[in-house]
Amino acid sequence: MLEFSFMQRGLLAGLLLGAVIPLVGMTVVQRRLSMIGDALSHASLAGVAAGLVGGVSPVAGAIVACLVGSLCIEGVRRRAREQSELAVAIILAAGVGAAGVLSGFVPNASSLNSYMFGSILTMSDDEVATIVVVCAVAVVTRIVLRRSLFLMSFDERQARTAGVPVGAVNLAFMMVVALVVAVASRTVGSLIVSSMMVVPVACGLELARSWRQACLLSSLAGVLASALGLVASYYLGLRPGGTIVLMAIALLLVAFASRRLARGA
Amino acid sequence: MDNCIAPRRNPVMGRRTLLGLLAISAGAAIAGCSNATGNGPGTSALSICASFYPMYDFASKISGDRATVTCLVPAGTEPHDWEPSTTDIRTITTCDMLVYNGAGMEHWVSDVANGLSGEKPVLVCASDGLDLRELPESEAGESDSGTDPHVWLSPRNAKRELQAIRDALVLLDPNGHETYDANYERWAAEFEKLDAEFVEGLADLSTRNLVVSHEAFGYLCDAYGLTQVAIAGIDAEGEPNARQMAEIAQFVRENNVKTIFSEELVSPKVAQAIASETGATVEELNPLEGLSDEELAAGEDYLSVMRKNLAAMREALA
Amino acid sequence: MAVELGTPEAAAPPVELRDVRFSYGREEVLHGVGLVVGAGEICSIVGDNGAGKSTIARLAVGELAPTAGTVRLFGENPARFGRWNLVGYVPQLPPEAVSRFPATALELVSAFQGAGARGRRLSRAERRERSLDALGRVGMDAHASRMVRELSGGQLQRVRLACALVNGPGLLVLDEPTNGLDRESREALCSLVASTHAKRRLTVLLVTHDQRVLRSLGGSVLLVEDGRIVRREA
Repeated sequence: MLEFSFMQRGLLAGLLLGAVIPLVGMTVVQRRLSMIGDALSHASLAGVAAGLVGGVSPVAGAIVACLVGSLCIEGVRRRAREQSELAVAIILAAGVGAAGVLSGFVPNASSLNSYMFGSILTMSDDEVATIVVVCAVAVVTRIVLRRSLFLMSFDERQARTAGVPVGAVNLAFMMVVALVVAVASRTVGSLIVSSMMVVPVACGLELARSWRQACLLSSLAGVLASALGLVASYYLGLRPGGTIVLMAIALLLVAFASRRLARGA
Repeated sequence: MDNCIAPRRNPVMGRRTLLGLLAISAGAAIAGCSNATGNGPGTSALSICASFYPMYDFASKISGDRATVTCLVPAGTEPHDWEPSTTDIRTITTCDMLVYNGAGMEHWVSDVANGLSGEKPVLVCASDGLDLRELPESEAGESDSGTDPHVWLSPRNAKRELQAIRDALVLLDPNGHETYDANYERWAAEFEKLDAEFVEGLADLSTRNLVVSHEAFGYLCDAYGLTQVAIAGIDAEGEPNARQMAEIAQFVRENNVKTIFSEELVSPKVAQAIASETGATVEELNPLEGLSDEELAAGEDYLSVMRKNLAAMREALA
Repeated sequence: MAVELGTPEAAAPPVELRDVRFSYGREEVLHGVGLVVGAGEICSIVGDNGAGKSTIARLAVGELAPTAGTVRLFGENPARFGRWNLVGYVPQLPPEAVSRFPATALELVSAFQGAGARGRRLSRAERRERSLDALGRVGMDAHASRMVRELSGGQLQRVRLACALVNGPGLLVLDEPTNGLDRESREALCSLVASTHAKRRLTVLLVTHDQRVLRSLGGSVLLVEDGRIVRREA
């Protein structure tokens, strides 16, 4: 299996993203923004199309669109917390709509396709390198801001009087989310990104007995799902994106079951 | 919105028709795209809608200056996923004849046909009467009928499609009988010549395995004794699974495949991944599902593109 | 851990509002409120729902900025305030808001430590010790390694109080701290606040609608009606 370089690249990217996206997702889930991965990856489609129409780099377009989308969501969340789930859905709709209209103006459809449909098996070396960089940025942000993000996950208002610069941290965090979603959804596909943001986190929340454990278990679940999904895809001839997601769901079911057993015992 | 006329220099077209077409297309360009249902100024011609490029090319070749032909799928668009917009439906319902390939290529035709009332337009399924390849169960996603729609990629089938279009035109417009017959004779001869070139060009090759990203060349391979090896099944945008990828890479290595053919309208990522895995190169083979604006402007047509395909295949399989 | 005294700002009253107005959108909810809470005082703000009680507390700690008038926190503009170790704030928090927050009481209290510009970095052992100490003072040390989402309402409020007190603040701002608590928990919380106040000369700004809390804590009481302070009692 590992004699194929596409499997090596896929595993490397899968393991990295499996470890890192749930760490970001933990905070996303605490904020009740679980659908943001989906919404932003659709926004990034509009960015790709806009980039191709405008003749600038489609990946830059995707990043800009994700940033704009995430800042809109954050703006709504800050003003009216209870409306944030609506804001996420609106950004999703706006992304789909804008992508649909803009794609009609893209001069060469093949270029659009090659950015629309990423697959973890067809990454170039450059794309893997980009993923490594983005993961590094995300991990560093998570480490530097870990106390702030933790306190804000608990209660932003109390966090502020603990000296946390809430506005700046939110901004930085949303930018990291946007960057991760923009880059990863273009390379490994939006399916993997949006589900990695949520499903392994649910595993962690189910089993953990502390914040530390929750973060570690989420990452572990992400890594396991990626690895098992890719291996299953290889030996069973299944499509990798969907297989990885189903593996994550399977892990979640195992987590539910083991928690129930532990309670019963 | 996407319904542009594809202006193309057609040697048979009369000068006035050409001017008319140019006028319409200029208008279309200004309006940012449009329909072109009305006859061009200076002609009293039939209006024909063609579903996608080869149908457009064939219909233009046969009808000559007796019709204005509109290509529904715009230049540079993958026709498999294409759906007609409201404007396109209006174009279709007001034209005299709709030429489509059939064999599962245009899934929207039956829906549109159900919505039609009255006599117009005449529906012409160009692939009627051809022997169709059945698709394996696993690859039937692209085609509703379970058949491989890419019949036009064999010059012999293409000639039969010309014939079907001629027959339909003669029925619809008996006055133009002579023109249609003359045009058919002329182009049928060209297509036979192309067929002969393929037979000769593909006679002695060192390998007969054609590795393609989009399984569109089955009829072509059948006609000239090649074997088509597809990378992502027949689905133009399908994500391959890891086992398929490994099998293809292994095949490419074991059979010493030098070239993997991708195509212009589809993402080349899968082909590139296989190529970087095996050291093969990625070349383009045009399935003629749509020509780009540049190709149209350069005066390319079915014949010239097929000759390029032949050259590329000879290069890769030599 | 003592309140930092001796600096000129520390002599300023912990909370000071002068002619403060505040609007949510176009609707003005506070129409000129003045209020000074001196060091060591207990000040309770009472009134009906929607009278603007919580808004006063949120303005006092700089969570909201006034549309007119001035707010001072230890003599400073709260928007540029840096010494957050002087302030302990327990805003309203419905228990379901922490329903998926996977941290232990100890982790939570530890994270609230070390706030403020002057705090030197503490070692992990020191943080742990101080956090356990803070949990001990609210009677929650036995529950230190339990997840906060599994605590009862009263236990959660006590842990949040420990978070607010862990840095040894000079000012404690409590916004409806006894909402949703049963009698026992309410009384326990009140006596905790009272004893902390007595021990450390803690300034307390309390927002409540609960007369029983007022009776047990004492101090001055401001009655707020329709965005105005209509009565002051000592």
